Amino acid sequence: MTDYVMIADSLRFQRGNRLILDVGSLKIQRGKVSAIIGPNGAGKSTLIRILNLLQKPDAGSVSMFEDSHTELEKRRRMALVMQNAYLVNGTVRDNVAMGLRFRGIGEVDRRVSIWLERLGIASLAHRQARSLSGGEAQRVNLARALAIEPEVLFLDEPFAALDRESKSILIKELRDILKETEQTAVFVSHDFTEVLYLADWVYALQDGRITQEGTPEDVLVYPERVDLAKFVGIENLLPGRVISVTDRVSWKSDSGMVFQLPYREVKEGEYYLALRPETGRIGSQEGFSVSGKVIDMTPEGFNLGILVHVDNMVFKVLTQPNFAYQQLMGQVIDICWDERFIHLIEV
Amino acid sequence: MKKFLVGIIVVLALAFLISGDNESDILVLATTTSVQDSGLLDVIVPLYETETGITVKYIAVGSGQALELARRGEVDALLVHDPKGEEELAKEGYVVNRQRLMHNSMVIVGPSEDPAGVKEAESAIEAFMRIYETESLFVSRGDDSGTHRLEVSIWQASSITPEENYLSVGSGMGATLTIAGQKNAYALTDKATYLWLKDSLSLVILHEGSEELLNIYHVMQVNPERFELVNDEAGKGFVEFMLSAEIQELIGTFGVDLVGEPLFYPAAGGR
Amino acid sequence: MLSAGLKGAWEMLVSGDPVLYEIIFLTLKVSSLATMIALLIGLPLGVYLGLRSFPGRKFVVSVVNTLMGLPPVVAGLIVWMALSRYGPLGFLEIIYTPTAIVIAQVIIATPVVTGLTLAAIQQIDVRFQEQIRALGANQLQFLWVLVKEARYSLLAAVIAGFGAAISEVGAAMMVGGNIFGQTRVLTTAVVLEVSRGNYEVALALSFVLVFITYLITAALTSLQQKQYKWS
Repeated sequence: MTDYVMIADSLRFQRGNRLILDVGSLKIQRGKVSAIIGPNGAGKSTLIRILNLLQKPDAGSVSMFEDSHTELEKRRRMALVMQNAYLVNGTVRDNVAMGLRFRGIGEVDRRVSIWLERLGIASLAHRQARSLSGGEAQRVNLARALAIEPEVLFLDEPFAALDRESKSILIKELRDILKETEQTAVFVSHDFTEVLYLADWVYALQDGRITQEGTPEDVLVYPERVDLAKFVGIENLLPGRVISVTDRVSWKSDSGMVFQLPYREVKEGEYYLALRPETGRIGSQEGFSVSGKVIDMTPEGFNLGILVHVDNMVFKVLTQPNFAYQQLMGQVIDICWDERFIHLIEV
Repeated sequence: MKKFLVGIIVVLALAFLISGDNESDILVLATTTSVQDSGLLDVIVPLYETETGITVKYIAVGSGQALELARRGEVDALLVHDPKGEEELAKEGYVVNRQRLMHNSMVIVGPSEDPAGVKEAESAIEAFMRIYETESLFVSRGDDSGTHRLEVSIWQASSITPEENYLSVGSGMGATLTIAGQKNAYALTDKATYLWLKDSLSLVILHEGSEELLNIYHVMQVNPERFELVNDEAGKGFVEFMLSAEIQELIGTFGVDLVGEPLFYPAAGGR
Repeated sequence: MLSAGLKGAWEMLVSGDPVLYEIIFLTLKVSSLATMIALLIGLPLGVYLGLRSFPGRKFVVSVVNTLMGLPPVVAGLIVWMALSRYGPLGFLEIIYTPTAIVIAQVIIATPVVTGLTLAAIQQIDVRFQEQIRALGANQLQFLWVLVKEARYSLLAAVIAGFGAAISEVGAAMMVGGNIFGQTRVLTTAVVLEVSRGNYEVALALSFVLVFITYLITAALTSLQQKQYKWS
């Protein structure tokens, strides 16, 4: 049986007439990292505030830590790291010690030192917290939360304000810490690579409702709704319809091409063909494969996006850049997706 | 919130304790700014306090306000110089035991060139008419003080309503004289304040001694039968004290060392 | 004339004139007591208004803001009406005492302290506040962190409250009566000397008033700035 630290039931929260949150059920597994993803305004921060007991819901309840009786006692078993560090005036050490001091926990110095060391900021211990760079400040913020050794750690977009380099280093360190300490965490993000990297379980939150939950792969590769698909970065969303289902699926694009796809549990009707650019590649193979002319290329971080024009449709694949690709412009190439990455979304 | 209110009350209570002297042996006396400005009470009041053990709170305000305070029973005694208003107050029964205490004389001052020819006037009324007719500037207290009321009564007696060349400054005597001096204008003033400030003014006395300019001060009690909170004994005692030979003599000599003549002339007994 | 005033002020101070020192002492006693009471009311009230929302909060805030600009004479008039012999609080028999001045100055300074405290607290990011709560602060710890966070602005509120109290004259005149040896404070003494025509003395007293106000605000300001250095 799975062990849950926190179970939210029928949460509703309104501001004026606007419904901000309407969450039927949400369970946080012990020792795992649960991610909440969703676009801005989906209600992620409100959900976090409710789970963290900083905000009362209009209806519904969150059950947690039944052996603690007051809100404060319960809240003291959790910690929160937000996008901005919100450090107080004082030294780094003072800041990291704050949570421990509030709780009247002994061995403050020892525990603070451990976490300063663990996050690589021991040398900053006596610096003024307000004079730190964004990356340093966020490390202090993490140390401050981790020093509490919370039973649940909430991370609300902790990397969003950092530059790419600080972010990739810190995210790796954080993952190691979370794994090592088997820290239960709730992680809010709208960056699916972070989610893929850190999360064990994902909740998709849209317009205040949880529209899908599952493993990161379930949600990121097989979203059940078009808007979620767009949000998680499935750029190839091709309109069409399933015209017959046997041991294979025949799907006809609106532009009139018919493809034979592997079996999926679908009925005849309108479906989008959904393909992540990252899961495609150049070449041809079983599964899904088309050929067309390269019409453009876009830089995507360390990758290269290649846009291929196929019969009034444009497909995008993401590949590692390679000098040879420069000559691809205007040429006709094959692109393909492995069978398991082929996904159909009902309209 | 409750604790908060309790805190406020405690602090206020402390404040009361600190300030002390809340006994009923207090005499509240309303007087006019002209008396306070002269410094006379600063001398007399300590004598009274030592003799009787009563604390005197003397509030210097305009005559209008002083009479109103008496009408409301807010003070125990008055020392003012607005005979008309006082008589009315006595008639209505608000004040009793009204005694003539002292007098001094008002004077009309102005620039030494005297463009209005006030010097030739035979009465204050005539002097005012000359000022009006020559369109010379006149500066008025305009503060409903006894001096101001006297000035108004003179204008009324001369059937003139001054509008142009008339500055109503709403200030005390000293400030009014300063303004008149700066503007080379005429003004009505008590002689004491004028003598006090003479050196810093470019004004001279142009008219004095006529009957309308007699400035009479009365001391009186607020009627204790009308207001239960009025301190009858202290009021009575104060009137008596002010009329005593010792104080009358003091009044007659007060100011001589400073301006060369007494600021007030004792007038005990008469009405 | 200005330099004469300055010289006069200096001479009055060094001559140790007991009357002058009595006035100075009373002024300080009254205004610092009034400031302390104003702080006791205004700081918690400002913090409360800055943190909590309740029906009618906007109205209360607008009242506070209006009272911040309340002319001292109006405050004086209200206090006089209340404390006068036949007023609702006349039985206290504190009209024309230093206590009455304290009360009037409290009424003048409290909205100033409240309004500035409110502004200081509102300047603190709501998410900062949430972060402090999320760190496990109880109510007292939470308020303490906020007060430390806003301490420069709060010290400004203290300075402004004291300034409002010590500099007002209308109310002190009306409810204190400017009684020699009892309720004469520096501001009312200045008014009296002006009406007596003693401009030099008035100016000297004014310099004394400014000098004392300067000393006290300078002390508070240095406290403010020193803390800034430590942080």
